[in-house]
Amino acid sequence: MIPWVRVSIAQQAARLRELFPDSKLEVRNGRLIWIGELQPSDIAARYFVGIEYRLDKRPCVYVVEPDICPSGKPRPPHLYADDRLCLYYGREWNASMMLADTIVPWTSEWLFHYEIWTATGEWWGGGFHPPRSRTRRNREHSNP
Amino acid sequence: MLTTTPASTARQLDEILEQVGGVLDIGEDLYEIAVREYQAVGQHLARPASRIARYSPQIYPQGSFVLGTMILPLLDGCEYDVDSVVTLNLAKESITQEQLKQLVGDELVLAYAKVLKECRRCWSLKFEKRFHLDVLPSIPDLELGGTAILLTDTDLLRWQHSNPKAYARWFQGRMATVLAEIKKSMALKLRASIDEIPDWRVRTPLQRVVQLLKRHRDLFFREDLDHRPASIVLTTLAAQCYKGQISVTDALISAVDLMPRLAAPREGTYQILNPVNPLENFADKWNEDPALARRFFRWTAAVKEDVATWTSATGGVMKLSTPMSSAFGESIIQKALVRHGQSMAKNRAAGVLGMAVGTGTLVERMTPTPRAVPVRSHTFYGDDSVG
Repeated sequence: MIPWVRVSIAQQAARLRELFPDSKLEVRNGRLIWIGELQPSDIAARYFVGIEYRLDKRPCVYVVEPDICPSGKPRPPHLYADDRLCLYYGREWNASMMLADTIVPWTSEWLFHYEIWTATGEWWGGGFHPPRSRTRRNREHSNP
Repeated sequence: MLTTTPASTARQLDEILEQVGGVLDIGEDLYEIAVREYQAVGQHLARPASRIARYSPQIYPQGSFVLGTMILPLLDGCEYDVDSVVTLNLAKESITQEQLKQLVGDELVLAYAKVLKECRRCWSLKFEKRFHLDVLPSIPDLELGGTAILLTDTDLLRWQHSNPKAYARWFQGRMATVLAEIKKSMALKLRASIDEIPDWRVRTPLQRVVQLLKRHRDLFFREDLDHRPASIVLTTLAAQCYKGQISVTDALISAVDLMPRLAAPREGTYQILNPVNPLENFADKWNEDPALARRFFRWTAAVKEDVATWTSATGGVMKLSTPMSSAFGESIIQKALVRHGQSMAKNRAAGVLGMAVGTGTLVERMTPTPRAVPVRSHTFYGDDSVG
């Protein structure tokens, strides 16, 4: 196996700035916070998306605005209990990869399929739910 | 049918309108079955034992089936209506309209008794596979020559002039350049040669516009379908308006803009002339009953307003789906959006998906776009923290 080299926070920040010059970026105490605007398609809504990342942690991605799971509405698929987006499985992402080239486009894709899901109730982005978590989620749903 | 994704920009409204057209369309399987069935009817009528074999019957499809503008009807159990013409080599003087219709009917009943129904102008064969085939008996129009024919009509004493082949040639001529371009890009994409792609598998923006207009009209006039503007009027005007746009949205915008102008009365009369026979005025009925014309203009104004709503919607697909559902029907829009989602998933799987820099907009990387980075493979996972 080819050993991979961890990309530094500064490199991640530089690439995010390069691809999204208008976005907001903050690096403090080894923690990167990025807020960018994504429009997954030219008829899609615009979403403010936040990414939080530390070198020793998985990137944490959430939609700042608009509210993607308003109360009283069904909960979108591929979302963690704390409303972070589930974008990849296992080792599909690792710290050698640029957030701007992986996590960001995957987020855009998530948002694209989220819109279709909202309109049709069908998720066509692929992916899967682990059975255990599905049970838990269903339980959470039945007891809000 | 293969879709005609625009080459210039990643215009998603185009793709959704494309998908709406595709959902309404007859579909490749049913198309092929319909072709086989009308060919079988032709063989039956021309078989040696047939009493009309000596008049060398020729059968060919006509109307929306040939123009590639067919849509799912609102009524008739949602069956596609495939029109065909059978021409018997007989002179007008040697036969009456009634006799001609009976000759064809007598032969059809031998093979199709169970599915045969007589209509005003034609015989209708009902096939189980969601379509019926109308067979219009005709004879050559020797005065006009060429592909002109004369049709029977029990309500009218005179023979009716018609020339469906010439009309189809005119319609195809209006989109010939675009058709060639689409086939070229399609061949490139499928790594096939252009000759391997038959015209009927392709839909141009003009064909999609006609389909969308017809469907919008059907829903708009659903309470009174008998008085809706005729398909031939819509088709003719849309084709006259078409300027080779590659984008369905652009073609639709220009159609709703120009159609009312083309249909406006000239010197006090409505004149929508048959482009291949200027003696025929498709708007004849409007001159007898101007209420019909008013209905047409009321409808084109409504389409125009709807298109403006779709193009200015900013709240995302979910905000677009409601107004589009009232225009085309909820189930049609649901299916179209699902196909839209599937096509995005397919593009990612095929490795042709990109994300535009600066906006995050997903684009097909084969189309020229502002700088885009590829979207690599990944799996949306569940809601567990194992992620």
